[in-house]
Amino acid sequence: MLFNSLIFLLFGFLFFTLLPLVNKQKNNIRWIFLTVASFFFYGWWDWRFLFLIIGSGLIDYIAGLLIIKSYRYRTLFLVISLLGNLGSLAAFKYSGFFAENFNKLFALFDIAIDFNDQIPPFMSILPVGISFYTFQSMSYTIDIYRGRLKPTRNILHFFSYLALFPQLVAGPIVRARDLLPQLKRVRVVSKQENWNGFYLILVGYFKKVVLADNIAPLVNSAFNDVGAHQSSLYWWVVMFGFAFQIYFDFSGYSDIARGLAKWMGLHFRLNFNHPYVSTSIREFWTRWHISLSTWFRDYVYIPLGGSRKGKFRSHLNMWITMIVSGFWHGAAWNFVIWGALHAFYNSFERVFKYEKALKTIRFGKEISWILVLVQVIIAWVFFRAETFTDAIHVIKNMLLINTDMDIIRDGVFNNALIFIIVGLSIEVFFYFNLKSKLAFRGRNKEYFQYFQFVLMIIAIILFRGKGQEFIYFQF
Amino acid sequence: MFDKRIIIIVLSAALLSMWVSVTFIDSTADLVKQLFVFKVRSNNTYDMIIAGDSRIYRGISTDPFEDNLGLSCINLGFSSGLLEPQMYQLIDKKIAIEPDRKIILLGITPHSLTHYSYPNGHIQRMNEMKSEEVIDYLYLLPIKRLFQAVNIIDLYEMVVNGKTWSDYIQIPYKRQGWIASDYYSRRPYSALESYRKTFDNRTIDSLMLDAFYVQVQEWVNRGVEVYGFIPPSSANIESLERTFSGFSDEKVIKRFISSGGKWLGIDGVYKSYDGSHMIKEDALTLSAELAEKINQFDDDVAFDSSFNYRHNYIADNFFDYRIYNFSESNVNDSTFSDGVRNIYPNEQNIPLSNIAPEYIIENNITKICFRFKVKANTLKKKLYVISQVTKDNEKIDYHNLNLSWVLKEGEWQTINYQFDVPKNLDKSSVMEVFIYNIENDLQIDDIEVFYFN
Repeated sequence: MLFNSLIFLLFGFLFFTLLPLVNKQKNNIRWIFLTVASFFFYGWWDWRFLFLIIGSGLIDYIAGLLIIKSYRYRTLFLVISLLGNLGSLAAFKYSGFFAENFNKLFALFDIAIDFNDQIPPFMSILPVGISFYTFQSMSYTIDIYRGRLKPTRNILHFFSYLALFPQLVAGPIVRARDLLPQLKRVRVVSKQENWNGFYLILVGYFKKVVLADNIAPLVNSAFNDVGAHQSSLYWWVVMFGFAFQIYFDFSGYSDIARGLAKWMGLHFRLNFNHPYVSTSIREFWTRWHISLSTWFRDYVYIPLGGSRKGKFRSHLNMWITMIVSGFWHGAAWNFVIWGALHAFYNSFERVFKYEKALKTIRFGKEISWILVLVQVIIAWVFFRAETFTDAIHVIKNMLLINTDMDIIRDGVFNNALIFIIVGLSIEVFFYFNLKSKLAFRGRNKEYFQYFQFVLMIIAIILFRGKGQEFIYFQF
Repeated sequence: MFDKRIIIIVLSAALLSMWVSVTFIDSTADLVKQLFVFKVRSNNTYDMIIAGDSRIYRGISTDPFEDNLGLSCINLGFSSGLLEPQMYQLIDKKIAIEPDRKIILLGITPHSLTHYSYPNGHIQRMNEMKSEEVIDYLYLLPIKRLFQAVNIIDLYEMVVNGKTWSDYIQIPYKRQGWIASDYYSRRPYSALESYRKTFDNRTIDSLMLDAFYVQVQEWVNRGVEVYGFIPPSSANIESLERTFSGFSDEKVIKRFISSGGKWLGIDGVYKSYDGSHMIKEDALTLSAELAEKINQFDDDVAFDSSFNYRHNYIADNFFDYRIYNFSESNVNDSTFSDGVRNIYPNEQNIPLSNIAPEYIIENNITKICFRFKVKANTLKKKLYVISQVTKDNEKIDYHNLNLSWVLKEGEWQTINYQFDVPKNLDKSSVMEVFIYNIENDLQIDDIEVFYFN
């Protein structure tokens, strides 16, 4: 079920109408309600893949219990749990990629084998949100193994955590040690929480359906035929557009998820914190997809040794983490390059410390900001392009000066440009911290919020773009 | 969620949006889509089905059939509708089983018998639509229309600059499956380019044609009366379609009849807004004419070469006007009197006629039409027929027709070209009609000029 669909509005209305009735219960009814509602939400997309969540979830639930019960074999149970999760990811997400690359590898030795034929057809469908819920599930058993979490004995508690609908398909990736205790607490949602939840939901919808969905047609048309335009300005606008599209699309989803969680009396941590105001790549990664970055930090980078084993190992560990993170996003070399490029930026920044030097000069902060934006945008080209050749073609067009201005007659371009400017203005607003400078405090804040909310709802209704799936559903 | 402040905010924003939506936003696109979803995804069945491509869904109203024949009826025309299995399956799904009299009326065009790798995409897309979206269109559209989305630039253009949403007038009649259509300003050659592109490398598929006749026979064997007709089109489009597709009216009709089908010839004269599709009023006239013909169909009238199986209609056709003059003598005699005129690649502007403005003004002529035959021996670059009126060396009127959309190398084809006399024409104006040629090798013959007042 998509957040931006009529059926979800109906589902949400029914869910939150019934929730207060069951939320008072200390028995299993509220857990059954949460689990069934979440399964219904997921099953609406394709009920067959519920078996995958239930199957891989059961492995982790049982492994969690066994890790505590049989201390001697705890590593074995952890490995079984990891194999279950990574196996389902490998089967559904990466089998096609591996098959294709093995085909190419064997072809080098003149051996003609088509591994694609060996993949069952149902594995060609990528289950929505598989990367998110498998990571969430893995963190459950790893935390139990590390002694940081006690396993839950009630299977309903486990599935309420794993499949909770607001974050099930596109995050944020919530840790069991954060969420399970919150779920177990029976509490009444306060007026302020309701209000804040409403704010987050509106902001999320505005980002997704007004900003991201109106920018999407330009980006899609540009990348459908990368050879159609040579203008440098065009490609810079397109790539700025994509940078904002992916940010608003994904952070919009996270905001809606956080808002819905607030209405359920839960708190999800911030997942995006205005990443495009960053003045260093390191800062960018503390602001972009925070739940994933911290997941990789805690479960990949630190176990590899983090920065404890000298400078070289620290760089190497960071490179491995970034490349794996890129591969997590998609089964294609483009995503690996995207991850590697960010690792390169990071290493470059760490070695030369140029951003620190820049901060000592006049407008240095602004120069750093622009430098980070350019680096991030160049990396986004690899993320969005269908092929490596397309990506190089786009970057060439961006860097070679071509002053063709024919694009200004294009309706799709102009419409997207309006929303890119709106997006840019929002980020500039946060960059200069205007919120604290303007009259957004005290009584004025309340009136301003009423006005802001009404305007946002009108924009969501009237200026919503053509309904598109959330980009991160494919990851 | 159910905070009083939240409810007030949502309601006030929703009311404001509804007001904007209902007052300013055009919902034709959604209504058109709803009509097609209804055609494909509703479970209603009918005594009579009318099927074909866009000339059918824009050109045939079902009301005259229901009134005249007393049968329930739906128009199953689709964009680029092909006489292919997807269409047959849909017809079989829609035709009622019980009634004694069941009719299928097929609009047969050259395009409907050509091959596509993704045939009947319009029907397939409707079939592939998610149930959720189908429910939205079939049942929730009245609510959705209260909250329509709009492109911000379009809204600005309309509210601030007073522009209309589109030049296209479309009135969808969902129950009928008919979309009454027109342009605010008619453009008699606007469909040519897309048809020309469609027929690039695309001809009648003989296997598809064979399968079509088998299907007709099967319907007839099941007791269905199957009627066929060729939806009228403009002369230029008809010439283009037949030249490029290899469609032979006579052969198609003869085999249709021998497969058990009943053929309906058309006698009327109709107007088009784009050169391919009929305007609303004439769609109603044609529908009534077809209903009447079915009602009075005489099985004993045999098809022969004198049978009026097809009738060209011409965009904003000539025949509504009194012919004021008709002769080749209006054309520059010295150039064309010897019959075929050869035009060589190095000739750029070839006058077809210099029309004396005095003559136009004195005789209150409002429209001028040219008909001539052209054969392109080579088609390399630009080739247009252009009419222009200048006054004091300034262009006051200009029209053109891109001949490369219509012509096929090595074939004689008849071109119809017409334009309205500008209202600000005076005796000092210069009126020219000429062929603009860049490096093409041509022959022209049989130029006719029609003046109308």
